[in-house]
Amino acid sequence: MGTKDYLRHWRENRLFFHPSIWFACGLFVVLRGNIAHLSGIALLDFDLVPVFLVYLIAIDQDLKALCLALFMGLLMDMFSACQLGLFAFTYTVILLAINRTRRFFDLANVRTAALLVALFLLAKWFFVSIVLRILPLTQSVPSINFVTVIVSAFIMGVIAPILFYVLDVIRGREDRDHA
Amino acid sequence: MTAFFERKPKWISYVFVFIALILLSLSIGRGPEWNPAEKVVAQIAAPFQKFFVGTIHTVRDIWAKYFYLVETHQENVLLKRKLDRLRLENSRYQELLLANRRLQELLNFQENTDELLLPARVIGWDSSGLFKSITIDKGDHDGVTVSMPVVNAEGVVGRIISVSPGYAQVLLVTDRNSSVDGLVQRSRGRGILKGRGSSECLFEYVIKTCDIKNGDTIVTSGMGGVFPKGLYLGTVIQIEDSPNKLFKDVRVVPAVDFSKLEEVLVVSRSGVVSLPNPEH
Repeated sequence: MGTKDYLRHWRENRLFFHPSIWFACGLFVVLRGNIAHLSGIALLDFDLVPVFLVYLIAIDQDLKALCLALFMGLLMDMFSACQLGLFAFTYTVILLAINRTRRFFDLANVRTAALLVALFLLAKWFFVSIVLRILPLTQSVPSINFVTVIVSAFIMGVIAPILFYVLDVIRGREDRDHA
Repeated sequence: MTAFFERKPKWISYVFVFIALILLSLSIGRGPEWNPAEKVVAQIAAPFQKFFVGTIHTVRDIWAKYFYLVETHQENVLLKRKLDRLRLENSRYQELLLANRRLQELLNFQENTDELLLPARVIGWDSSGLFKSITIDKGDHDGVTVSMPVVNAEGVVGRIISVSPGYAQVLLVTDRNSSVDGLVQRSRGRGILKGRGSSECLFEYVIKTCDIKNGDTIVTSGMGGVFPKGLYLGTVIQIEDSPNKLFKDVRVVPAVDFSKLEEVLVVSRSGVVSLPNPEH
């Protein structure tokens, strides 16, 4: 297979979809603190990782979603002053819970998926605060402002459908149910 | 590999959670220091942060220098630098003057501190939003090691908690896991400055008899072996003296404006740069 054929095969079969998601997600996690700091929105929690994870679950890519959750969680642990595994554990547990209860949700419906993103964010902070209290970690438990968490979850829920659409376009499946 | 992902055996989902739990369990009792694998990832990922911050600063600089009052801006920068330097010198002189008076009375003791100040640029902020840390562009290769103090012209920024060959992570004094031994500059009352995870800190373990009032300056005591003595930590903004408590509750606003943090200085004890001697 020549380079041209390979590139055509790559383009036609959308083989760049998963590498793109990994790159975008990784870049977001690494730059997240910078973006929040420089834009002056450090108080709010704009976390795009749950959007990618819920999208992957919605398109029946459970294991790839779990892989992404584990590695993005580890990356977040690294670029934060917390102990290794805190966010990796949080993301994977919440994602597993969503996966195990997916039959109760119509994930093909973009509104349900957006709601799930908002719930994911709320669950993340709730879970992190529980883990930090239960496990004998060296970290003090940070005070979590649940008003800002709820506002962030709401905003992410609103933004999520737009990102789902972009991901649909990248994946070449624009016929998703946007009702 | 693709076939494996398509088959999706049920047990495999739990493996991911188990791996994460194992990693978390292994890190219990350890600090947030980077292990060798994390150092490699930091070396790969941190340049993206550096590039991003560099681009933002370049765009900002172009706007500030070429489109917005060229000469005024440069003059302002020079004056600010001069002011920062004078404030730092003033802080050090005040502290050294007080120390000199006190020690001359007691022991005729002369204090010399050898410190090397390594300038570093802030290239990243905490990814989780839960903790208060920054990433700087100096690491192991530049002589940075864990626990080194980080300061700027305004005062204490934090201390190094993780180091990779080219980068280091700094725990800010505002983080809840940060504790710095401090002194009330005027009365020499002791306490420990603890972060609250917000823009304020608490000056804890201040005894009831301690002479402390609003507006007092808190400086590092030099105890604890991390921070040199006499660096600005912050200013007292509120004191509560409840009869039911053993200590006074003192709220402190940090000396450093963390929202405008761009460059810092890593303090290395093994250096050769001497701070001004009060006798000369």
